[in-house]
Amino acid sequence: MSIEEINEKVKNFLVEDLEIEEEKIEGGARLKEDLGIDSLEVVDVVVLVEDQFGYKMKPEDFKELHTLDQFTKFIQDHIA
Amino acid sequence: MKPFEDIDVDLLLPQQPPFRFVDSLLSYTEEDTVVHLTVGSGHMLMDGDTLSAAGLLEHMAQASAARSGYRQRFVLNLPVSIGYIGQVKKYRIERLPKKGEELTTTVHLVQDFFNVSMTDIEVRVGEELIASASLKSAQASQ
Repeated sequence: MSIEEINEKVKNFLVEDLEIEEEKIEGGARLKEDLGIDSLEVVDVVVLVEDQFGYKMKPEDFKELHTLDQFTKFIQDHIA
Repeated sequence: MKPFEDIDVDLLLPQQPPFRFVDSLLSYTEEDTVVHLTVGSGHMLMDGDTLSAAGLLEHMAQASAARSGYRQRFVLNLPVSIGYIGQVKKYRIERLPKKGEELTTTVHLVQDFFNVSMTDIEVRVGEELIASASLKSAQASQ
């Protein structure tokens, strides 16, 4: 799956499920500070990644993930 | 292991009557937990002979808490920790239950991540689905 396809799926999820304003979604956006993804919404993210990309995230995965670009790159690196 | 119906709900939940909205645990697996409640006139959050929407939501929250309480005490052998409702989504009520009706409520675990559980909950009277919701709850650290 290309990074563009991953970006599109992630963007749709952020807008439709987490109700994040579309204009806030850009690669450099910080997950917590800019997009408001808090500890409750991280669970939604975990469900998304498992359902859409087949990878079950672990709590320690989030330690190095601060921006949307890092997150989508992480998905690309971890899907078959 | 004790039969589920012999488990004292006091071991799973801190709430006491008339604010307790789970009578017993019917079954538990990692994926699905089922609890029972007979709606009583002595319950708080009644609107005449009908359990209010707030009362039904409290029942769902306590059903989810009973799942967590059972898992902590009887599966993990840990003290039961305090839980908090974090988020309610897709709360749908087909109808409100009346005094004397028996609710059978299934808590389906969608995801358990760190100290947050996401569950889908369905409340039935017999076979009739009367309410559902998606609920997130957070466990306080030990």
